[in-house]
Amino acid sequence: MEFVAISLLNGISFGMVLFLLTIGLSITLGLMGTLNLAHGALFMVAAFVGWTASVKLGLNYPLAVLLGGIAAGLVGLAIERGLLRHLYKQLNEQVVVTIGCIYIITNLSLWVWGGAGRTPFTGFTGSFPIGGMMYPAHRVATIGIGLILFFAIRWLLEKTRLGAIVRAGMDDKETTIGLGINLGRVTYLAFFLGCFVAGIAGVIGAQMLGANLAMGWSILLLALIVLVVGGAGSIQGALLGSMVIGTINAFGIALVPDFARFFMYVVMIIILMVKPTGLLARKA
Amino acid sequence: MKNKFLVILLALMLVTSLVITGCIPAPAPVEPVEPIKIGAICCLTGDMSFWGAGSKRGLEFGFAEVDWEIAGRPLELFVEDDATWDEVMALEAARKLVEVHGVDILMGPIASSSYLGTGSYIDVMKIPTLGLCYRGEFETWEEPTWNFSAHGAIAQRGYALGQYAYEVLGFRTATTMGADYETGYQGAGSFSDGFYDAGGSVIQQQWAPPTEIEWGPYNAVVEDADCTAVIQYGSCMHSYIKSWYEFGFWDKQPLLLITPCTVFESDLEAFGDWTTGLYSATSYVTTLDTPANQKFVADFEAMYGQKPIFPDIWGYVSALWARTMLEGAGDDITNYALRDALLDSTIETPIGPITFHGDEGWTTIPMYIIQAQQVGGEMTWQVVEAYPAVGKAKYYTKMPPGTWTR
Amino acid sequence: MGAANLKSFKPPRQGDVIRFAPYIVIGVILIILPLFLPSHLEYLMARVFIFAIFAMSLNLIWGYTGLFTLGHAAFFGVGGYASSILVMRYGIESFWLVAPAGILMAALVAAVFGYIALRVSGLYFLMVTFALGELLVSLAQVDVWRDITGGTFGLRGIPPPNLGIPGFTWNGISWYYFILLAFAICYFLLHRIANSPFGHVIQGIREGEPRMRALGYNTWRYKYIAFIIGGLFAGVAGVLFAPFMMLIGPRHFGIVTSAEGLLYVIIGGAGTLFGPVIGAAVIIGMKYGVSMYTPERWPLILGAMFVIVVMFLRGGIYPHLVNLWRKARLRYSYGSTKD
Repeated sequence: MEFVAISLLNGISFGMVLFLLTIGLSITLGLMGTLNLAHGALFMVAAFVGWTASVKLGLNYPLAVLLGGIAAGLVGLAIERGLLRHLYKQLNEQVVVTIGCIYIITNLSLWVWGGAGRTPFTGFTGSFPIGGMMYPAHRVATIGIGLILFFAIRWLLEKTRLGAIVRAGMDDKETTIGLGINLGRVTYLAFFLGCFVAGIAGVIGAQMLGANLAMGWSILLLALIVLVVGGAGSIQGALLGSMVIGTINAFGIALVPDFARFFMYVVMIIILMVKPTGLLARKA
Repeated sequence: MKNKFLVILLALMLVTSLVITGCIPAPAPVEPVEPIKIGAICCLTGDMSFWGAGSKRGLEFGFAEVDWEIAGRPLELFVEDDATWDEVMALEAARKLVEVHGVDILMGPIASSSYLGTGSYIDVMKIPTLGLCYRGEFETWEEPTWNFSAHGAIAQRGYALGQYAYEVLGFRTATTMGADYETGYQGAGSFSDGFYDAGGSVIQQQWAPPTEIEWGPYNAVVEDADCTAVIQYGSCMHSYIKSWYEFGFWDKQPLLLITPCTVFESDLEAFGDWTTGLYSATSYVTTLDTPANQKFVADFEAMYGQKPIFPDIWGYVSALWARTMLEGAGDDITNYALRDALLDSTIETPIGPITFHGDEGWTTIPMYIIQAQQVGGEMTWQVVEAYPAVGKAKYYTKMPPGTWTR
Repeated sequence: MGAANLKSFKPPRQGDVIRFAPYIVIGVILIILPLFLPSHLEYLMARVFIFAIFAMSLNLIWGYTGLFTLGHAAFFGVGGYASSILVMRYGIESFWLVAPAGILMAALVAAVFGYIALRVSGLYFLMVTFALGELLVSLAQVDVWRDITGGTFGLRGIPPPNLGIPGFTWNGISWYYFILLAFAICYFLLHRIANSPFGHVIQGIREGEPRMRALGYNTWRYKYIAFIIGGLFAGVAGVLFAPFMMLIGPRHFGIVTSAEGLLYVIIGGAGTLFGPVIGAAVIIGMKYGVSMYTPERWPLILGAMFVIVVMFLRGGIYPHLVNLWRKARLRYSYGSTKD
């Protein structure tokens, strides 16, 4: 069934973008207890930077992706070092400060790039046939990139010393520090990486979603839903959550367009009721 | 002590804001000639901010053309922001302009929600209000209100395109994709109507929220037809066009843009020359081959260093309307005099002649079917068909699924 | 400050008039203010009071009980929509009927949502409340019942409240006093609630729920009631908002409006009754003034203000003002000393 195949691909490719976006949120929440609501704005900045790099400056695409990721990582790090660092465990203040950052980042982006949304036509162009329809290559490439990054980050977390420190920090911060490990530096690295991956999501996602100034909020909402459904602190959770949400979105909009969003929120609430920590949260 | 300083600073900021906004009225300077004040609510922040910036440019250009002076009185332009989708802010902006600055003419908000949010206030205050752009919607016009939309309506475009699609392009079936708000209903509805009246049938109407960015699911269920007409909001139109191409519909089910809206020539260029052949309907393109337009484009480019884009021309047309109102009202610029000067008047613009039928609230305006073509190595919009004076359009609402077959 | 002069030392007494001075002064100022204000500022102040009520209601749930919610605007929207739908679709004109109905609807929805949300706590409570709010947004946008709810755009052209008073017209001054009256009533009621035994229990829950449970309190019930009361007052704000702005839309159920409420509470001072009022006044006032002077850059300035207040004025503006006032009072009580 062509419809099912295409809808699945739609859901998984969109979900992959959400997955990459949510990794950063999930890890920093699990590791640092920090909720960075400006994460969506980082995605947006990276999308615009990627557009500038690939369309205006004509750089090759992988370089544009890298630049977008670095831009997001640097902005995120600036927010962390300048602001969030002083607000450890103060959820209220974190929320307000990061909302303030959304306003600031969005307005600065308006200043730099003007108000028009951009949809870059660079990257993985071309389509291939599925049944009677054609399907964009970049969406399939997004699935591939997402999977590669999933395994890479999982390897990083499970098989390297760095990853072990991160996991230890998430499970028992005091003991980790007590063992003499420099958790601080590892935390910032993890934070930077989370934002970097979100930036990659922004540039790659721009191929299908474009880059516009409303993304600071709109993509954040989706990331929060994925975070809730998947569970904080685990990569597998972020992947599962994003697949669930992406698929619901794809099938929902195609079959019951009026109620698609409604179903997404109902699913989110049910999961929260049944398993509040999310489907695959990290058990501390 | 640092905290105390900051508290005092904040208190001072708050007091200063209040003071400046007129809590303690400053003494009015005695001026020999009282200036004419014009207020504009443009969306300067938010995701349609480039449109607001363009409107502002067009307005300033239009007033600079008369050296910011009409009948010996200087013109002053005040611009407020409404953050695109924030009706509360639009209403506050209207209040600020009318009550703080005391404007004589208001240039209305751009986004439909803001427009509808300020409607009752404008009628109560009886401030002549011009639109800044062609309207995506209009309520049924029962008597001349104070909200004049003299730039034409989206429905005029949709209808013309629908007729053209059947009669000239030879399409017999069509689907539509509209944004799920007033502008979308007008656009998709009018296209369907024009297409039907010419003899065709619309077999599917799709709707998406105005800020939708993920088009995959919609493309998965679009029906096979000869063509698809789309009216989407701002930047989402771009990703829709891109997805249409990538999902392989471009050749077998040509896309028609009910209004080019935010697809500028630079965007066609950025997409690539596969966009050749894209049709749309609108009242203006920079390549319009009239002496008036050539002069306009040249002057505009001289002043701003870039060619005018859609929001610029509509801002300019608004300025022309404002000038007509002010010149027609003469020395006595009351709201009734301004309104009388506007109703049933015609202006000459780079678009051509535009006539506003004030008693009934519609506008006769030239309409062009345009096509994306590569000229001299660059993508441009070219006129392929001209309708010199398109008249009144109907008011369309969103029809429940299944009732648009006739 | 120099050595205190013990002979003229007068510690402030409980019933000291000076304690109520701020209330009296502010109250008088607010009452006579319209005489000096141009009408657009009267409308601005009215809007500030509406959102002050909203912020105070959120504060009861968040600042006093410690439940961090991201879906408070849902009750605001329910109040506004319910009362407006009754007026516009069912022709019930009297404000004294539709307003209580709207407020009651908001409280009912709060009862349902609270029951669902309070099964979890902390971050998950935050997420559930967020989801419930967005759920209402998506329902409000649904096309099927567009005739009732107005779809994506919501309700427009809502008529001003019909108070049943002959000859009463709505203008800047009447709106100002009407909403000021509503605000004063809400403030008084919330003040009583906050300072009642109930109020002390919920603050105790904020400080440490296990301890309260150990003391024998049914903490779940207290949290639930606080949630419903908060939702009820948010409904009051909504019932006032809809006819005042003459419109209400799906976004008024959602996270953007809820986030604005959070900002008012935090910037003003969580856990104090007057803090959110100050927060609403400062933020709405600044947005109004700043956007007039830099219509393109005002979000930047507003965002910067949030950051500055959180980083440097911990606890919000109001506690710092109170601090200043207390220091000034102490200095007065100690008598002047040569320094």
